[in-house]
Amino acid sequence: MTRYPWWKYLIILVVVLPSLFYALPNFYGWHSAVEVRAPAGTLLPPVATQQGWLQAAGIPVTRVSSGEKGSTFFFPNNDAQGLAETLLQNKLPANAQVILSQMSAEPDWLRSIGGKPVNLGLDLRGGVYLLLRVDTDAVIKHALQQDSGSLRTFLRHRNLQYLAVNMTGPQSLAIEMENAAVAAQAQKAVAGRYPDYAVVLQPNAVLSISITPDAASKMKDDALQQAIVVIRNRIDELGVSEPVIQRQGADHIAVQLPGVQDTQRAKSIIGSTAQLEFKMVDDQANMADALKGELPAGTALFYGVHGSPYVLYTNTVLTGRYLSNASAGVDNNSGQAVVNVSFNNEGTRIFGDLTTKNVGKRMAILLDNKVVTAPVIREAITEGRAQITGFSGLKDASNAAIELRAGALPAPVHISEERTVGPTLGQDSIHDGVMAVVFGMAFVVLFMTLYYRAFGLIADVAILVNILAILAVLSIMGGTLTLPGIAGIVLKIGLAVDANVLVFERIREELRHGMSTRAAIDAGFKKAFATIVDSNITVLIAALVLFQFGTGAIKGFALVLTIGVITSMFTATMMSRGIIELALGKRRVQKLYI
Amino acid sequence: MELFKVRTHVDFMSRRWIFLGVSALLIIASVAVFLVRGLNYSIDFTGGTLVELAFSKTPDLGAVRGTLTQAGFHDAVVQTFGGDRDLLIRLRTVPGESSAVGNTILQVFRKDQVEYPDVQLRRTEYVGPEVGKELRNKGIMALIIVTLGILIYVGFRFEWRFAVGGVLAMLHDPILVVGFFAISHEEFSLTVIAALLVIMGYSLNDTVVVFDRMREDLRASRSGDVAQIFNVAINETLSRTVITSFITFMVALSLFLFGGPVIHGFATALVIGVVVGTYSSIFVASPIALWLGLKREHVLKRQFISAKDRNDGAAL
Repeated sequence: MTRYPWWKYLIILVVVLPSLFYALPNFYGWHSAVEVRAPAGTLLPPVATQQGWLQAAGIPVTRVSSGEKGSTFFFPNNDAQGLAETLLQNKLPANAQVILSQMSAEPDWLRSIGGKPVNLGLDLRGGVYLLLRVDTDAVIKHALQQDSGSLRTFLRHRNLQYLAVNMTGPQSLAIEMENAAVAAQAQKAVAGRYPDYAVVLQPNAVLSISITPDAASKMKDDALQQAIVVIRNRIDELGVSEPVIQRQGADHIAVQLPGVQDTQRAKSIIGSTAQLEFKMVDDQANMADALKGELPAGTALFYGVHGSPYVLYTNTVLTGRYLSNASAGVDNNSGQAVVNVSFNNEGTRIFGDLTTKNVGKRMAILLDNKVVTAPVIREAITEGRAQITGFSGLKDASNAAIELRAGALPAPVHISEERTVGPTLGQDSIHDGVMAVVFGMAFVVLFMTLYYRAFGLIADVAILVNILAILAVLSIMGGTLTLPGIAGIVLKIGLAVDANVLVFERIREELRHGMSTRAAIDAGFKKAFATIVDSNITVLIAALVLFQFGTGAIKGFALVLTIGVITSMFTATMMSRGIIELALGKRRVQKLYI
Repeated sequence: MELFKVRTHVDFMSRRWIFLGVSALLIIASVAVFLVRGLNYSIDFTGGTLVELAFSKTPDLGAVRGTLTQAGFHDAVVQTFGGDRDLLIRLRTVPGESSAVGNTILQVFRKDQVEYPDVQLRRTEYVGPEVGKELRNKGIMALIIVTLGILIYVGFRFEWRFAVGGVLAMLHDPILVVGFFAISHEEFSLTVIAALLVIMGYSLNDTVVVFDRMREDLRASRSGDVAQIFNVAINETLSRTVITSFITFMVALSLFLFGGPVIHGFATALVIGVVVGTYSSIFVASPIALWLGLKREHVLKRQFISAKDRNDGAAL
């Protein structure tokens, strides 16, 4: 049949067939869908009822599927999807999540072999990208502040007399001891009890205490990990389909929220620390003096959300860590927006003790260092439930409830980069990208066919397979296609034919030198091979560096380029050769259409 | 169809000083413009806020600027983007400013339904000052590492005179493209840096093909006239160089024409890069290798003499 070894055809088939299948899902397009989910324990109206609402409103539904997590409604277009979202949000209970999503329209048999379309980047599908910086230094400062209290207790228990404990910097504190002998004793004791601290004995009987670099970096690392968990919880509460939350470097977290348009809400929910604290109010304090800075010992001045001042004991009696649940609602008597919180076992006990001892006194509830409310404790609360009032509205309260449920961030976060892409821009970019691919491809196919005739057609097949292979590899790897990524495909169409051109020109040259057809083909492929590898490696170096250094959309470009370099080396050499040999068979060939 | 039915015999090497001179002048000019005029850096590098709004009817730029000034955005830069209904509003970072600015600006226009009905937010970008600095450093790092990586690879695969010629030709290209961006004041963004890296890869790809042929011809030839052999090699690969460059140019042009405003800068850099990259492969890389005194014996396979070859030698 052919002079090309059978096992090379086997390799070609093993590469090409999966490429075709796994690229296929990309050509089916997307269904607009709305997912409805509910937190555990919430009962939603049956799916049939929900479908009835949509029918009554005249919104066309193409398909409904329901699973363990909730139900999904499919719509023929984005308009119906948008209408349905609004309708369901209004009709369903407030804590139900109504999520806009895009579902692949691929047939089930493709899905069953693991076929899935390429993830589209935020620049193509719309959404928000946030780069958050976690203020990890604050974690260390906070830990040191906490430990300064326990240090005093420790020293007192050991009968080591100290005169003062002072923060001397954001990450260090100094303890003034009674005399040098006690200081030396204390140094040993503290160093033994607190292995995370470097304890240095200084002149004048002063111990300077700072956190060791190892401990600091571990603390920062833990804080970042914890922040990622909390942010993931909050985003889950927000209801976003396919969010991506990744650590980036030592103190950054990258968050991608596809399809999210209300960036303000997303940002405020992700970004607020949500540190819930309970502190007792010092009712004896004189507010006028306090405002002048004359505060009773152990108290500090705090401000309410509306700016009113409070004198509170600095000691925090209870924190959000002891919460088991939080939900927003409206108080039946006052009509005010409230957040109902319930404590876990330990929290219930602490809260019970506290309220028993302090009946008649005021307790302030602070969210992120601002007093939300400071009610008077009327009676002991032992069943572990409390109601927080003082919110400006139900939306405010339900945001706070989400934050409290998801837990507090271990440190403040700051937004250092934000990119929002609206849905219309994403659509336009897809359109532009596809146009560029179509025109680039059409030109190359036409040119190659005209210029190299039969061999040109083979090169065209190689380019086509190459594009499909890029899509297939991206799909399987779970890579993301961005607009620069599409540009990479267009560019790759041009660069990929280079390998074919090198081979074909070489064959023509050998033919001109009077070589026989078979020998010319053989020489052409053999001599061009080293050149093809050399020239592709230079592009590969650039692509790999770009992948390493690039962020977001540019990474997508580098990924496409990297995959493309590898696939094009295969299609232009082995596959093109295979097709040529298959076409020529074992016949003697007088003339090549090249 | 065949562009080069007959072998071409262009004498490239005898005019090498002219080409090198032209390139040297262009590089000096590019560097000078870059130093004097600077680049129009995007907010990727400077930090700041960018808002793209789509209006339902063509807005009056003056009125838009007035609206922004009234809302307290005094240093906002407003320009059309893509079509004339899309506006790009850029703000430099103000200390203490947050990413909320983008939304505030949208609200400013949404409030005035009479003048600006149906304003749509196309995108907002906010880059904090410290991130801009980091992105700039990353971009420069990437350029340096690509240069080093390619230098190592080419140095390993080719004789050092070739390597130096190839790498200088490769550096020649992004410098000219940056020069163009300095002159035109087109926005210089992260994607342009990505384009520069690809141009470097492409330029060297083109050069390597010519060098490969030169090495092959040098080894096969008995003549010591390196310039002549270079000419032959360039002419032999000329049809491939022209065809590949033409195709790459056309796909870059397709990106430039159809790829949309978001990747306009990227496509511009590519279109120019393909042209200068092709030029430098022929007119810069080889003349430098020749200038450095490349000789036939430099490329003979000393280290790869097989046992058979040695026996053949002994038989002589």
